[in-house]
Order: sequence, then structure tokens, then C-alpha cells
Amino acid sequence: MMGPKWTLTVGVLAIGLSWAAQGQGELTLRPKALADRVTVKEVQNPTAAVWREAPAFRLHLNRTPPLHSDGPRDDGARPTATVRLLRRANGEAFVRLEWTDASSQEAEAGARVPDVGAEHVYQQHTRGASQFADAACIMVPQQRAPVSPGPSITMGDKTNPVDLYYWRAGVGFQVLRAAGLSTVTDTNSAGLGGAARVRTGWTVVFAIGKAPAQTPITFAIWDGAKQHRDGIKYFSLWCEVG
Amino acid sequence: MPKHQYAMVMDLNKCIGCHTCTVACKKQWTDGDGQGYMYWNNVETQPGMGYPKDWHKLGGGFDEQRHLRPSPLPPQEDYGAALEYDYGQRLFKGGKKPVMPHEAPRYLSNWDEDMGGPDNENPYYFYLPRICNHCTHPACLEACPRKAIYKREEDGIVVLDQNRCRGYRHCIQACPYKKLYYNAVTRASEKCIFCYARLERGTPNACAAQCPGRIRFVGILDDPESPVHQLVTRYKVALPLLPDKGTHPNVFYVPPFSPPKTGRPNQSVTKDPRFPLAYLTYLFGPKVGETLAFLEGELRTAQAGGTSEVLQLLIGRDAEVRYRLRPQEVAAAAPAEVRQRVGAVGGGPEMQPPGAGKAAAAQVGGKA
Repeated sequence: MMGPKWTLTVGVLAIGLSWAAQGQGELTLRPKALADRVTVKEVQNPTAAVWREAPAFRLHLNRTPPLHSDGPRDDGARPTATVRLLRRANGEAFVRLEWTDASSQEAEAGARVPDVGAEHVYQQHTRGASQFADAACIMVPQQRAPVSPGPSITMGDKTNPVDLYYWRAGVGFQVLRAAGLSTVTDTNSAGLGGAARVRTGWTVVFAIGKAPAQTPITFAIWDGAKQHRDGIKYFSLWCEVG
Repeated sequence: MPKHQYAMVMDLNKCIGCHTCTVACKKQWTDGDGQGYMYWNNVETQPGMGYPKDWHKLGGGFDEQRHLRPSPLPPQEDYGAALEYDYGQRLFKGGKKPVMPHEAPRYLSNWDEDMGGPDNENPYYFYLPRICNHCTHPACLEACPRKAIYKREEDGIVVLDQNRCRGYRHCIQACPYKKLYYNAVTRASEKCIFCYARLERGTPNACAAQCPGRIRFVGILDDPESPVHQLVTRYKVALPLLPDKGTHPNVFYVPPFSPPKTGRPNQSVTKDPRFPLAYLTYLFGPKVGETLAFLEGELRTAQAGGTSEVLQLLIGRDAEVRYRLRPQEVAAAAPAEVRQRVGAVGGGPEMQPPGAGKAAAAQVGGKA
């Protein structure tokens, strides 16, 4: 049986080959210039008219290789996502990611049982022990500039640490940092953005700070209904901000 | 490898299934938000489904090649919900309705209590209290990609750093005993911490200290004077649960020593056992027959007016017999922070200020 590292290496190679076979090379995501008069609040609204003016790019996503013997099986689905970028003159960028997800899985934060007349020991009861939330993440190098070689696709590396703009349904946005597998730490700053559940899936806006041209950028989504979490997810290879 | 290993022995012949251990643990550690459904200590009737439902059939642990065995993640329904009762309307508002849970229970940690074996001719059951086994080779530790789980170097207790945990729950799947629990409010997993904060003060685990049947023995496995060493290594009457799971548990059980089902006084329990030997072997491994035979011999010696050292030890009337806690010794191998904690408080009786345990446990991650 292959160990996790070999599985990962072989899996990433296989995904890379299948990616090349699909004919999608490195994708350049051209942003639409965002006028200074448009407020952050407006941009954070995933359904705002300003987003319709930004060019749409289709991302072909792949499933990560099996890292755990008891992880959920790969059902063969290879979803796509649509990504749009807006960027202000000062380089501040916003990304809207939308994808199809028929089942809405939000993290359960716990709820008080309707008052039954006595003081409650537990303010919040939960039923979420086996539920996983839908989620999405954008990864960019901490060094927001053309980087060669780019950070590792597996959460960056020591020489090229990454920022992770992470959104989880029912929880919200977090800004995380990593410098390789198993190194994710919370910056304890809430990310900026907005999310909307649409009829066919999710539309989420991320504020990712400054992203000048040629900044590497990659995307991941988790389908909670399929028990996705951790490295069990759909992901894109590195793209480039135009 | 840790420098010492704390261990516990539970004598199943003395367990009366009162759940006092469960209540003690619950009051001490899991009365916070999101913890309603979880019991770090539970008592289940065997044969039975247990908690979570059919945990022993789910998999987990290691195979012969030391690879993690796959296991599903138990659904919430297999743990059961924390029930709230409408005492208020009945006691304070003059209501006439009977006190009922807020929803119809569909499963609970002791759902099939006292139902026992399927043999109508020979009904049988015994109680099996369970905590985390603080394994020598914890599958949960192996499965965690965040390295949030570790064995304490000074005493081998397996703890989970809730600041590192991101709630992936691979640990729950990997544990063959299903003794980790996800808290959906804190979004991190939790587990039994063997009351290390109490042990550091020379106070036994809450489940052990409160046990009316005095079934639990606690000590350091590598301390020849400790009761756990005596029972596990010297007399070999305490066996691990499901040893074929490959994790080398450090919680051991004296198997239930049943009277012969026919009631004939001279019939050996190993020849005509009330509890089928095959079932006990399934739970406690192939040495269970040998262990029961040895215990039977000791019992006969005692019944004939002789003295049995092991039975005297198992009676364990006094706390000094059941517990040998060596916080100073363990602390000598521990980080400065632990040495300071132990040195500041020292050993003591089975008492501690309210909340002292929680305060110490909070240093693991602030959410225990």
C-alpha cells in the first residue's frame, strides 16, 4: 500500500496530466477595473450589478487524491466554477467565485432547545457531529508579485508561504496562513467578503488584498454533503491574475 | 515514547451499572455548549449496541501491516440527542402534563441497557464502562493531519490541542473505540483527558473517585508498586478491550467472572459459563479463558479458607489500594510548566477546589 506522500505525488501528477489533456493550461484571469466610487460594501454583495461587468472565466476543478484510507470516495465528479475579478487602481482586488452545488450544507453552530420552562445546562445543543459545511478558499502567495517558482500547490512552502482566504457556509470568512502541509494557522482576522446561496449553488465574494498582475492564484471548494473537509476537496491548479 | 504511562484497570465483576462515573465525568468536563451529546465516560450493557451505536463493528485501528483500518464517521443519530425535560411546567407552573423529553428519543448512550444476550434460555449481560484507552499507539494521533493529538511525554496521556484542531474528524473515524467527539459549537474535537489535571494534584480521575463499586484502579503501568502493574503485569488478570484493533490500550478490564449457568456448585465457569467464552474472547482477546481459570482457582483458594493476594487487591476497599498516583515522579519527566503546577499544589486527598480541573485543562487549548 502506498504511503500518503507517494499517494499525493502520484495523484498530483495524474491530475496535472489530466489537466493538460483537457487543454486548460495556465489561466490568466483578467480583472475589470473598479472605480473608486464603488464602495466595498457594494462589491461584497455577490449579486451586485458591478460584477456583471467583469469578464467571467471558467475553472475546471479536480479532486484531490485520497490521503486517508477512510476518506469519502471520489465519485468522479469534476465540477467547474466561474470566477470574476475586480481591481481598484491601488491594486486592491476582489474575486467572485460561483459554483453549482445542489445540496446546501451549512456548519451548524448549535441552537438552544425551545424553552421548556427550566434553566438550561446547555445553552447550545448541536446535531452537527457528522455534518460538514460547504466551503471555498482562495490561495495567493504572501508575496503579492510574480513569483518563480511559485509556491507549492499543497499549501505553499517555507520559501513561499501563502495567504488563504477561506469561507465556510454558516461560519463566514477567515484569513489563514500556511507554509506547507499541516501548517495552516489562523491569523485571527476575519476576512472580508459576502456569500449568497443561489438556486443552483453558491456565489461568494472574497476581498484578497492587493493582487498585481502575474500574481499566482488558485481556488478550492468543499462539498459538505460529500464529507469534504481538510485536503478532501476540489481544487484548481495555479492561475495568474492578469 | 512517553517516560511513564498512566493506566486504569476496571473490575467488571464489581460494576453495578449505576452510571455515577458517567455523571461525575459529565459534571467535570462536558457540561458546556455543544457537549450535550457527548460522554467521555459511558457505561454500556454488553452484549449490546453501545455508544455510539455498534461502535465495535465500525472498524478503525490498525491492520496487520500497521495501516489505518477504514471506518465510517458515526452519524449524530447513533450517539443520540441531549434531551431537555420540561420540569418547569410541572414543578413551577402548575402544569399537569407528565415531564417529558423535548423530543422523542431514538437512541441514547444506554439505549439497550440490561437487555443483554440473545439467548432466552440463558439471559446474560454485564456492564462495560468505557473511557478513552490512552493507547500506546493511538490511531487518532496517526490519523490527524494537523498533529493536534499527542501523547504527553511525562505520563502517556493522549490529549488533543483544540487550538490546532480544525474539526476534520479523521480522528473519530480512526479510533476503533470511537472515543473522540466533535463539538459543533467550538468546531473542534474533544476527548477524555484522563483527568490529568487531577492526577497532577494527586487526585484520582473523577470517574474513579466517584465510583460506588470501587471498580477502578489507577496508577503508572511501569511502577511495580502500582495496582495497575500488579493486575496487568504480575497477576495478568486485566486485559485490554478489543486487542486486535492494534492500538495497545492502557485501560484494562478484569473480565466478568460469571457463575455457571446451571448453578451446580462444582461446575467450572470455564466449562459451563453464563457468559459465552466466545463473546468474552471477542471483547478481551484469546487470553480471557486463561484469566478466568486463574481467577476461579484463586476464588476456590479463598473459599477454602486460604488467602488470595489478587482477590484481596481486587476487593480494593481503600483508596490507597486502588490508586497509586505519583505526580512528583511523573513531573520529574515533565515540562517546567507541569513541574510548577504540581509543586505549587502538591498531593492531596480526593478533593479539589471547584473548577480547578477545568482551569488546568484549559491550558491544553482553552476549550476543555
